[in-house]
Amino acid sequence: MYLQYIIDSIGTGSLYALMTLGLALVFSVMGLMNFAYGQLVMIGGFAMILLRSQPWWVLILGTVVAVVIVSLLMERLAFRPVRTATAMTMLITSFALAQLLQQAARVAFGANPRPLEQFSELSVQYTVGDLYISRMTLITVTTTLVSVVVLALLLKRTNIGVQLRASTEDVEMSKLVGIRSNRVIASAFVISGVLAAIVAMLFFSTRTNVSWSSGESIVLIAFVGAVIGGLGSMVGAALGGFLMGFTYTMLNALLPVELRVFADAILYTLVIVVLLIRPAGIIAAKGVRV
Amino acid sequence: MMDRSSRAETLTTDGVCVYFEGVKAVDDISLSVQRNRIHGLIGPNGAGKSTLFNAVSGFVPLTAGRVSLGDADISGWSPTRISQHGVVRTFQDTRIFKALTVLENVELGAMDAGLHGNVGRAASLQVLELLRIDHLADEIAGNVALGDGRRVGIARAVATQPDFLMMDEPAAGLDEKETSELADSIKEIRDERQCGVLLVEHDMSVIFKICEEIHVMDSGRTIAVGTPDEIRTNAAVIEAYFGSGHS
Repeated sequence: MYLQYIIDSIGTGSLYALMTLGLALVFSVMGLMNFAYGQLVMIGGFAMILLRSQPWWVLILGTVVAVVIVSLLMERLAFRPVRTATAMTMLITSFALAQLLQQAARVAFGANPRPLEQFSELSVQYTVGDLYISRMTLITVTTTLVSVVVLALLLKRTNIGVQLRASTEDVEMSKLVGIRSNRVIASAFVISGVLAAIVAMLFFSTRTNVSWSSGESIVLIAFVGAVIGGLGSMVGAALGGFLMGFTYTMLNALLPVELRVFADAILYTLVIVVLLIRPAGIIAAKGVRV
Repeated sequence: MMDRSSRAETLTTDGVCVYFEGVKAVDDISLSVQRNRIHGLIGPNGAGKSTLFNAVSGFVPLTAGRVSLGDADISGWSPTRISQHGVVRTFQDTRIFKALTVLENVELGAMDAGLHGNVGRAASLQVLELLRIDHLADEIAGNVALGDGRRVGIARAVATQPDFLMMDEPAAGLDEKETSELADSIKEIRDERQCGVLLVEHDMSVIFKICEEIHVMDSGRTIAVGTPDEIRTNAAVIEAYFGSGHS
């Protein structure tokens, strides 16, 4: 029975880890905590609704392309003009952008949640002994592992990855060795957009609807995950996000029914405890800029 | 790095002045560095050599005068633009990317020279061999010793294929053996890469060992220019270093 809880929690943990990575990547490259990140996931959800009747590969590709385009536009139109401004200015820009995108979605898709037809093929359950593993859990865990490995290879092995990591550490010096920060930051937003699209597909596949406010809880989870993992550290972010999702699902499974309403309260109390013990996060990054 | 159709033969300053709130840190300095030559810039503490160095590399604005690369006036250019045109500097505190490997640091330099992927890696390994730190290629740069870190910084600069390499006290903090080996390496870089070198250095052993021409500053002004032999016996230099101010 506990094993069953652990399997379910690993599924949620993986999803939260992916959410956190996209946010942490942009933060580590330009010191921007992009609170509009959750809206990218929301936009991905609406893209899924619009593409629901299409073949699966069109749906996947279309969702990724739509979210990446919005992510790039965000960078170009909203964040690039304030790149040299203070962290506070960038932060407020991201809040404003989040509001703008939410309200735009509300106008475009209505104030009520829009139903998303279920993906029945994903709700298949496999039985291993007396354990149930849903196909969705397998897909989520596999997708997360593949995404993390691809991201790691991208950052470690490619020119743009090395340049990205260099500008994360020392922007001024990276300019001196000819790294074009516009290109590097835009790439970070592309990667962040792809991750947001993947999160959207995994997240909304298990939901029945998409709402203009769907992005809020996601960005909160990602933000807290990144903070407890250690801002600026990719490994820390993935770990922080994973722990958030894992703990949350475990709490919901293990708490007596009458206490389950306190799952959130307990989770965030634990977050505070972690931060009291390790203020810089579980894996503190070197040279974090805030 | 930008396409540099013809390699400039000289890096010169004409009457360069840098004043900080009335203090004449650099006062009317004219010097010329030729390609394929190692040029030393020395002087007692506070002589203004670091300020001049920073002014030439674009980190400090000129109050007056002109810095030229060949025929081109590069005064007032940004550090990035200057480095894109083949005048590349190193830093005393290395400024290497500590989270990257030694090889990746140098590869960034190679990318700057337009060498990507395997070509860039091969070129970077060559530079690491030239600097004799190829055995450290896969180490995290933040974990290597100070002397090796300096070499990483120099290797990254060399990988950009500079016409002029400006080094800011590369031997500071190194022991005698490391210093002597570094001096040999600087000479080898010049011989193999045929770049000009402008070397700011406290350590006289390095300067006298490898420089072909030495420029001596004191209190912001030039007090002597000449070959090592000329400088060694120059009265003004001896006065500046060992004279009245020195007990």
